Amino acid sequence: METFRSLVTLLARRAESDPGGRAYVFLSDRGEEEAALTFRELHDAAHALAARLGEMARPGDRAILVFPPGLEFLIAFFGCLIARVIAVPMMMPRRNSARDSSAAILANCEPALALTSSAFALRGDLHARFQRAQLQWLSVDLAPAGPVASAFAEPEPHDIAFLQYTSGSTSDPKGVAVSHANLLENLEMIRVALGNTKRSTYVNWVPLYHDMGLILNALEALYVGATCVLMAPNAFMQRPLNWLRAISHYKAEVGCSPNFGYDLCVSRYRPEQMQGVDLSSWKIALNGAEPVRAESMQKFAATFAGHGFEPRAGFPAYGMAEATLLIAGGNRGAGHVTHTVSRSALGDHRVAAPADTADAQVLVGCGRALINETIAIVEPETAKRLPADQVGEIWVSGPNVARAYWRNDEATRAALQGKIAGEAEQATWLRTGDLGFLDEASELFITGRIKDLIIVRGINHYPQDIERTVQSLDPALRQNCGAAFAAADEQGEETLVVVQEVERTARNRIDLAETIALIREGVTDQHELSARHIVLIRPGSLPKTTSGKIQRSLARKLWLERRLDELTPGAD
Amino acid sequence: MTREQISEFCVASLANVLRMPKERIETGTKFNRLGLDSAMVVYVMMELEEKLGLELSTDDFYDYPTVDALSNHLCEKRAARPAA
Repeated sequence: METFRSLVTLLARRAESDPGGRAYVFLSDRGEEEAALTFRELHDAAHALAARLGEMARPGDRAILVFPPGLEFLIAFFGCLIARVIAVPMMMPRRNSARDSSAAILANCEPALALTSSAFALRGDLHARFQRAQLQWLSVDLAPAGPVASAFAEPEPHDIAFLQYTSGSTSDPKGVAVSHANLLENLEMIRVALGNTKRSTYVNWVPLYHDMGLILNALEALYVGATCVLMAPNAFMQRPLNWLRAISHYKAEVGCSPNFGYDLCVSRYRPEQMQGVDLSSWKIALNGAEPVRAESMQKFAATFAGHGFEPRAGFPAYGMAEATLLIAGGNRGAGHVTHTVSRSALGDHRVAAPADTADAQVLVGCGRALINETIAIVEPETAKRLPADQVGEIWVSGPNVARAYWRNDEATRAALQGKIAGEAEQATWLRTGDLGFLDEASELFITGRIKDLIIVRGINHYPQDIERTVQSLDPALRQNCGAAFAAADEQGEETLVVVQEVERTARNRIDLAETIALIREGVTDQHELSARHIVLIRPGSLPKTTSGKIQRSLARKLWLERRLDELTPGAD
Repeated sequence: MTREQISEFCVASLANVLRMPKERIETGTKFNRLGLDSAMVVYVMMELEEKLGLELSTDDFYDYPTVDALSNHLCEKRAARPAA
């Protein structure tokens, strides 16, 4: 594979070698082609935009990208790379949500520009939400552009290409500073693992502000010179089978989704609506961005076997923005590995054989370290490396690991500059905050997490944000005396549990059932998240450290063991 | 289907997606108060579309935010559609 110094050279190469080849196609909600860009059109449009950006900003300035689903985002993204303006993809804010992370992201990255599509430039609430002194708005459309001579120096490999804000809570967002070198290294690692070529058409519904949508799909397709067919995330949520129809129609080789997407396809499957759909072209059905469940993979393979789906296409994977995207994965066509272990031992972070069938839990292997990358399992307190089959924190070292978070030295030191005790080498490690083990064959298994994070449908939620929402609902709910955490239900799905202390003085004033409903409503409205279990407890009974920090994992353990001091109707 | 049958079907679908016993779903309670998030709205909407043979939008759930209001609305919508 040819090597590139930056994504700008990569794009120029594609425009030169395959000018008429289709880079991106966007499908309407009905599944019809709504827009398309060839490599040449993308190149020219991005250069035309870069010329405009050059008049409004300097290299190194930041530009937020706020786009509805479509191809405009890609022109904006590459326009920024060419102009050496650092792109900051933003989630489209929901109209009715009062609180999101956009204000804190803006405060951290201090953008000079905001790019959006011309249709969206009209949405008044956007300007209000992103209000900031000196923020200049620029709209990007798909109108054809002629060739433009570039006035820009080519980016250096270690220049920051974009900031990925998927980590950190609403109040303390962390922007991973991803360089051109990080991107190109990870794109090459992904190419080798997935075995893709320019004939490997992609069909993607994951949003482009999400690293799985942007890097694994849109950028990887461009990297290998393939076509990436895009559909709106909402179109997938409403008609998941349209994703599979598009894979069949375009004879796509690659389709990626968090685990819930495969479940959604199974639950919406109606044979009479899927006649003639042939999934035999599908070589990589990557499953990542949230815990991978063996049962989901099995059910999907069984449901779609009649449509030619090859079970060995199932491709569990593990990654995160701090490592650009992908950390571990299998090899094309190799299938996946499972281990049956003891559920109760896993609760104590040990790998053991199950005591009986009730104690058995099937874990799906997420593949091995990619080329040029090392994965270590480390005892988090002592930073000592652990041997195979022992559970510890997953640490990663490689050229795909970002050097820093944007303007956040403390977080950079804590997460990106890990050192393994007793190992003198230069290597610095990414501390993922996830727990897992490597088996004798170096296959990675994820077993839990030490960081306080709740992942639902591939979206990361931070407990602090949810706790703050809860405590803002009623003065009876004590400040800094609540815990939100995730727990797996009987189906193995991650669900949200909220535990909250009630003020002693308010105990007789409030109606418990009414308060629980109020909390459920507030969490649904503010976080698009359903709280399965809400538990009100006595003041002072939530576990905290001596310094007053909430011990969420201990609260979770007490909840699982039903040992919380729960308030019950009728009791005093 | 009568309004009552539509209402019963809504309750069953909500109970399934919220993993809650049917008895706990009051037909006058707002969906967000039951903890119905947007992905769950889509799930219930698809079930209703299939059962009733209607095309719905997620907006219907925000405009008619309780089982009672929604089943009234769907009942009228069904009555108003042209005969197939």
